[in-house]
Amino acid sequence: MFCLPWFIMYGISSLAFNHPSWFSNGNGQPGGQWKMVDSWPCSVEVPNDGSIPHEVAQELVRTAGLDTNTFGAYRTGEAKITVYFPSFRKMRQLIYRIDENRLVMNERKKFAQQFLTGMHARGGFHHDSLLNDSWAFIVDAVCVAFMLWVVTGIIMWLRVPEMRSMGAVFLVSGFLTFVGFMVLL
Amino acid sequence: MMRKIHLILGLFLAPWVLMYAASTMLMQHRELFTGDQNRIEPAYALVREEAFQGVLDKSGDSEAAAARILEDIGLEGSHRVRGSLEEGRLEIRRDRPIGSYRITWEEDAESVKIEKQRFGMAFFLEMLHRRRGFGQAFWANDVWAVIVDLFIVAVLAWAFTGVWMWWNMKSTRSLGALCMILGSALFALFVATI
Repeated sequence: MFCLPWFIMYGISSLAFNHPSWFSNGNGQPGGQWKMVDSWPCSVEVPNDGSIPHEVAQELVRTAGLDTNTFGAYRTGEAKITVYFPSFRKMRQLIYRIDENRLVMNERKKFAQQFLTGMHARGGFHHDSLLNDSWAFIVDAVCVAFMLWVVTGIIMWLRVPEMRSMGAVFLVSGFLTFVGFMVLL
Repeated sequence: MMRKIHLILGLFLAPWVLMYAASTMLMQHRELFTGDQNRIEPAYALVREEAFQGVLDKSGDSEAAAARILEDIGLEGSHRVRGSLEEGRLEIRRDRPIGSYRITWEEDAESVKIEKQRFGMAFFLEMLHRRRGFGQAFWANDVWAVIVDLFIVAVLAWAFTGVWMWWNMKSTRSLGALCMILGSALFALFVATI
């Protein structure tokens, strides 16, 4: 009962992955264009290749005057770094144009698809914040609950003699279908 | 009836439930399982290199050429393609749960190189987790996507039939209500704050 909102959320949000066109009219992610809301001169040193070190992204976040530990960064070109901020409500990013020594903050309206897929994909303990770690902890709890569902479901099924044959048919056919996919896909 | 539906769905979809749960935990704790925070693709090993005698229509698109090459080497199925016929090079990724293939066609060499990806449990589970949608023109992919839909319906059905079953058990009504209220309040707090 505690995990119920997460079960419902994972159920509904999976639809946004399996049927993306239902939420975006087949034109990719809706939400309009990014709009620049602020910019700063910036000259943070960035390694020439490889992933962006956390300290570098942290420096960019600090330059923008943001007080958060929840962000990630990736390269979007030879001289461009994007810092993203996972959030259920806002879509915000920092773009660091290394050639121009300029840091720009953009915002975009958030729509159902981003809200659902963002919630579905959110997880991990790499964001240094209590609330994010708590969310990740509950994701683990939901996974354990899913596994327990299977185990307790099988125990409960075995205790109902009149369901044993029919249940066995469904259990075996489920496993065979799954294995079949491994070969056919 | 409600219990039967709950049980039958659960038994049939048990492999998917276990796969989604295990892969989610793996993605949450990648560093623990793979030693890296990012997804690591297992390496490819050469299977064979063979002459390609087929004639590819240079005015056609690379997607059609990739399908032709895959058919020729007997590896039809869900794939992605990079490169172009104009460049004289195509790299086709034939995505499969148990060992994907990478097929490289080079016009100058008049050959195709076929490499198979080594099996890695973490990558395998993550690949299955991410597999979805009706975007590929192969029946097996569409059936998998239908099962994903069935899984979604089942998760929602389990949640709602679970609530119904809880409501019928008077002894756990208060405890269940408390857990549901706590869970919903916490969920709302997360949505509002993170």
